[in-house]
Amino acid sequence: MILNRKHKIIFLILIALLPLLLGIHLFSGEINIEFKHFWNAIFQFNDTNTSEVIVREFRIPRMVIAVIAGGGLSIAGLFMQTMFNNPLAGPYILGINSGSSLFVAFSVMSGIPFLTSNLGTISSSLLGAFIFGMIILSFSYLVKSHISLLLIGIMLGGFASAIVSILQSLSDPQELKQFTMWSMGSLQQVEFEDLSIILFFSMIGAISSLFVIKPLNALVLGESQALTLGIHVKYVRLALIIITAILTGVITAFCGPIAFVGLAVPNLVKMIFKTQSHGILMLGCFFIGSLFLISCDIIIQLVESSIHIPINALTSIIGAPFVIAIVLKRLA
Amino acid sequence: MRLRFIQSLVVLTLLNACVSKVDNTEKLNEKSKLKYAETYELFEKNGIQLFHLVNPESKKIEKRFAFVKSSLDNIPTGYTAIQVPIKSIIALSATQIGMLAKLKETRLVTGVSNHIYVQDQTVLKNFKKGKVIEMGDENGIPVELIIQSHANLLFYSGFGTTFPHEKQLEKMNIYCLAVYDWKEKHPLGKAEWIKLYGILTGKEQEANTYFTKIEKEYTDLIQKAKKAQKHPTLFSGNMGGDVWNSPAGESFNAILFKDAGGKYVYANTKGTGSIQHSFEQILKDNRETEFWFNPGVASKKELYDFQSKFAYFQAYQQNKIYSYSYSGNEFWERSAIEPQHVLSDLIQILHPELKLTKNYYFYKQLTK
Repeated sequence: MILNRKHKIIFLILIALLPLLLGIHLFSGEINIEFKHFWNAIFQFNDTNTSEVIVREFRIPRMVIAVIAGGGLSIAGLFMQTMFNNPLAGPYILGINSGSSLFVAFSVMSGIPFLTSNLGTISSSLLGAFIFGMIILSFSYLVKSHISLLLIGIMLGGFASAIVSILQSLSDPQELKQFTMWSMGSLQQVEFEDLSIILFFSMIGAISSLFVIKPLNALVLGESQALTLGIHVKYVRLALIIITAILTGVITAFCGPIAFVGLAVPNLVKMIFKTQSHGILMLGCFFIGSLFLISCDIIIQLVESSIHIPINALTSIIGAPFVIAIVLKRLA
Repeated sequence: MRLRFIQSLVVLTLLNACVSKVDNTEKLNEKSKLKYAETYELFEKNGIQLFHLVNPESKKIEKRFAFVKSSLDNIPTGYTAIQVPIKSIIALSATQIGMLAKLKETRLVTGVSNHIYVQDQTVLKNFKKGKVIEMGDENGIPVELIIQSHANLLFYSGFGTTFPHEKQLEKMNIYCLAVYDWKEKHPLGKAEWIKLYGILTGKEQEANTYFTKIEKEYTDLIQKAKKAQKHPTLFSGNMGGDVWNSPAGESFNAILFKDAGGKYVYANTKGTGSIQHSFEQILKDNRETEFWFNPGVASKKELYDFQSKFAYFQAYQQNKIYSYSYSGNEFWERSAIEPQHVLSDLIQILHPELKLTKNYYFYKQLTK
């Protein structure tokens, strides 16, 4: 990964922005908390002090998951876009999030204790993302048109939503409530204890991603060119689906579906960095994806006392016009 | 049989014809016969019971019905005449079934939203026999199902809109009535809706007698609660998504807490519905609050599974969580018409020293 001067400057700005926005995020809650409580919450936690409890149990997990979800979904989106050679691809639009949602719906509404537990939800979410990822991959061999594949992804999403609706009509009120809350998307349901699981899976996804940088750079040149460069395209695609399933699955399990991040951010990153080097793009996706979701959550926190905006709604409000702009730019 | 059916149709069509448009802000000079209810009005004129449905927000009159027993004469202009007693009813809310049950008239119910939300044995038996039809959600009921139920009157909750296909249904002499009991501010205001059910079922006297009885019991209980020396702090509700929903300070729940001698943390907030707070705010305000009411679950474990951060509440640590959500829909079916029992439960929980010496009617302490 060779960084030119422009890339270095951009990364320096992003590296400077991240702690700044993280700081603003930590201090943006409805309740004013003194700085000392932030320090104590991490290093000298006293559970009888409500301010420290709020920092440790609410603000830190919320901030960490915003970074991981923003970065993870953006990287997953980048993988999808390169794999299908389609700038409008992403885990949400290709139905991979819907696969997670469908399997989470099955597990939550099954009433089986293991499946309704945290571990059960994560497993279901990962499995759903993987199966739907494999389905979309299979279709990609059959259809060559980018638009057709996107339509198939949207149809898969519609299919999953229809099954979820039927499950909802059959489920008991408590399960229905649990699933409905999850499906609204939230960065606030994550608990401090969950962070180790989330970080574990995210690290697996991140480390695995390092091994696909070179094949991804080759795939940009086209499948036949990649083959001549000695890339096992079939295995690379499988690896990409697995990594995407891990990243999307674990994030969706804890935060519910979050739309447009995986679609809009990789495009923004490509516009900013103007490179095909996937090492740079992945790093850019991580930083800009994290900054994007952190910023969205700061907005939510700032207006929280007067209006509650679900994270999924805000990312869609910001992401959808951006994606329309990309489509219009391509048509121009 | 056929002749009687045709006669009924002719009468109902004639009755239906007695409608004309009037100003919705226009009110009768007489005072409504009701004492607490604010979302409907009742008057008696020339032996006819006149009913006004009052919109809870705009306070305008939404509907005017004249309940007639036999004669069609003297129906005031602007009123839709409905012959009482009603022969069959669709009751989409549990509260409506509870009111009818109190008058022993649930045999009239021919349609419900879903039988799993029904506790009344008569309705359940009739459902098994196929005499009661499941209608589904209020906003998506097929018109054919309503017609099939042979109902004369359809009670719905009226969450802000008119009933779908209301006009078409009226043409078939099926009248839709939004029951705004859930919007009443005072617990006795909710209960006072029984007077309407009394008129509709021909049991006006029984309904009035019952209401007078519960009104006395309720006010007696308030006097007992006033003897308490302490006023324990309490909060209510649970998370819905990312926000915590609590009853607003002027809501009927807040009135119940006050009447029971409790100190509700959000008693000074405005509004009769619910208020929303972030979980951070709720934790800050209620970490040391003594009692937690109405979390909407059946066990403490369920609460912990839903959100382990609840363990920071003192009420959670000291097992002072009380819920009515452990026994199906029983609370929703009975509580509106038995507010004195809800109040009795709250007083017993908050002031065991008063020794009311009765079991809880609705509430259960969540300890596991």
